[in-house]
Amino acid sequence: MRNVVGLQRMRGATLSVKGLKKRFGAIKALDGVTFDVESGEYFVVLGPVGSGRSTLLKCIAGLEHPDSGDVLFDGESVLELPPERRMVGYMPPGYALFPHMTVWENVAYGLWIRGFSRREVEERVEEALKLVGLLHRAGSYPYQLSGGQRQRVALARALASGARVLLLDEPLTALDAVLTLEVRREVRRLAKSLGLTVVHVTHNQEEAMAIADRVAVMRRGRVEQVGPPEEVYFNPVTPFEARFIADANLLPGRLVNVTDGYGLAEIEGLGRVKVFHKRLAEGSTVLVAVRPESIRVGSGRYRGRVLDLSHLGHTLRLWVEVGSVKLRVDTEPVLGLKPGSDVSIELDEPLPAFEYTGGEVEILE
Amino acid sequence: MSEKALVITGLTKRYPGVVALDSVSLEVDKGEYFAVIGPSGSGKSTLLKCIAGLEHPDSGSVRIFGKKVDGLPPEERGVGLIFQEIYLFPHMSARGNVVYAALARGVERAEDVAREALSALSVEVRMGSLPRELSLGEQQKVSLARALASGARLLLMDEPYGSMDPRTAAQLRYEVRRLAKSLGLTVVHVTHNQEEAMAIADRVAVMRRGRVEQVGPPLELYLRPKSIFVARFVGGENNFLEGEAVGCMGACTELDIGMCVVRAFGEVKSGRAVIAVRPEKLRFSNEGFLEGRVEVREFLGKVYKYSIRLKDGRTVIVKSRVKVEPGASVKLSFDPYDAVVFPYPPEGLEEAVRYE
Repeated sequence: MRNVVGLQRMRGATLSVKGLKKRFGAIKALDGVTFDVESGEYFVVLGPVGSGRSTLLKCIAGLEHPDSGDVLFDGESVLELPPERRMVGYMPPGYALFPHMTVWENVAYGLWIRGFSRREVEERVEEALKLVGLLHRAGSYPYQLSGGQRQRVALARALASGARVLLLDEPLTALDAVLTLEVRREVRRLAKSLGLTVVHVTHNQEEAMAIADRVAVMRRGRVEQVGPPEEVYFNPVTPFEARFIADANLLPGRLVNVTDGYGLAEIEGLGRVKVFHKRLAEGSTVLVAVRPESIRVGSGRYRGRVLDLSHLGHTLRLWVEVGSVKLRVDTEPVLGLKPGSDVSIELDEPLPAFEYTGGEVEILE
Repeated sequence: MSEKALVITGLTKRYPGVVALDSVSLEVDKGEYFAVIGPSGSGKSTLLKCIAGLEHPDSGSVRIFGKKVDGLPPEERGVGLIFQEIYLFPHMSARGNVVYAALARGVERAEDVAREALSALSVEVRMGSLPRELSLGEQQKVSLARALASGARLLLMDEPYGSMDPRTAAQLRYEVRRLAKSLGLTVVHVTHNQEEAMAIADRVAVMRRGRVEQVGPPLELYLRPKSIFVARFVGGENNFLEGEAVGCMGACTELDIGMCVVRAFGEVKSGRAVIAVRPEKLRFSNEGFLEGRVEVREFLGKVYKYSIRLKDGRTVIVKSRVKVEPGASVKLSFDPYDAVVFPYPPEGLEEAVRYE
């Protein structure tokens, strides 16, 4: 007799991705991706569109077959298993609920087509809807729900399958600012309370930092760095990362006065700044990364002029011209600054410096 | 007196069982980038459709560059329209689509203007492509270029970036703004994405339940909200502390919030009152007058976000670059001018901020 396992008693699988490669024509969507995710870990893959993140998720879900490499759940390869036997809950971007089906039917659909017994379907759907707090809306249609509620239905659908690994592709983009904050916390809490292993794909740096146990930064089919959010944010290993994650200004300069791991960089139009680096040689051409929020406005040794400003939620983005250098600067929202305002700024030194091998600085995606 | 691009007076529109627009009046200056935000169902799209002539109001009037357009069909209003859904001629190249609109309106140097618009939005290299050969994002860029080059002096946009990848949209919005400014165009941009609106608009109107709650520059809405709803809706997060108004000092009100007396900008003479203070305006300080304990810390990159339980049981959100451990006892302070006071809403705080 088949054992019906309650959703609450599921344990998230460990996930290993080993040397995954996938080509579409001339494009290397995945170019040797390797990482391990622990059981119950909330793992976020952060990268721009086209970095291979969705392909990665589909390979784990079984919707794409990699050209080489392996995907293991609890140490066993699942490559030969079809999607429905991998015990994954996959939530595509936009999470497309069936508009003509009720909440209940949306959650049950995947179980029906996989031939679960009527009793099993009922138990699982009820439990999944209970978990996301929407059992009382089981008879509603998607259009009768708020954005946040629809999101939870999609999540319930992914959970009802009895997933050991939850794969979420941009799960929050359809929501407005207020809901995003609520839902992302809830998704994490739910996953944690069920002990599920989650791989969550996003382009949104703040979202990644806020919910991840660890973050993998992807670019052009490769993983650039894996680590806890603060490590990835404060100690990026490539200038791309510094730019992509923290929107850092990348200033070309030349390394002078090198001491062990530290030194001064001569930046044209700005002067000398203190930097730290990975043992680069004196005279190296470098990119110095300056995170916009690490620039203090109000006092300091640099005088600049505000070129433009833009209100971005809890920060005020300024474009400031200092000498011949244009800097993106984030400060807290204040009244009174406008284009043309003179400001004094200070940099938070030492700043990370990366070896610069040439090429366009700003377009790194 | 500067010429107004758009003057809306007492616009009202009812659908069965719902008042979509409830006597809306607005003025938009020539060359202004004006955004309209609000929760879904607040009437912002209906407003845009009434301006465009796609819907007809029950009462009220719309003037575009001084000319009354009530009763005129959309094509006679001289406006450019951009929606989330993209309507390009499928058999025409990107360039053809853009040039056609410009030629149809008799724009001088239509070819040049079209090329300029396409290149400013970085679709120059794909000018010869048919719409179906372009990505959604590129198609929308073409339709933006078409509207920008069309010779229409007023552009109406409803969720123009809704179908685009958010990173692309975040860059494109600045390009479009710059282009609109350099061509001297007036833009009315409706969006549910308030971050987008706040980032690029000269002024923003916040709508709720068919009415305009407040109009102003983004920072003013953010730091000087005129209603509790605006304080809550704009920016997504805010702290509200209830208390009793005990006196006024200059431009500020003194408020007894139980654990201490605080000051906040605005005038409430007496009675129950609420202050709103932004999470990034609460500071950790040894002299802080709000005492509490850190319950939760979240790392957001630019800042840490804390949930702090105050001694009297209230919870506040703090955003700070300072790192404090969960469990730590902390003291918080804020500048009176960084907080805004409101009379306690008769309908209750919960109802006053409700928007779904």
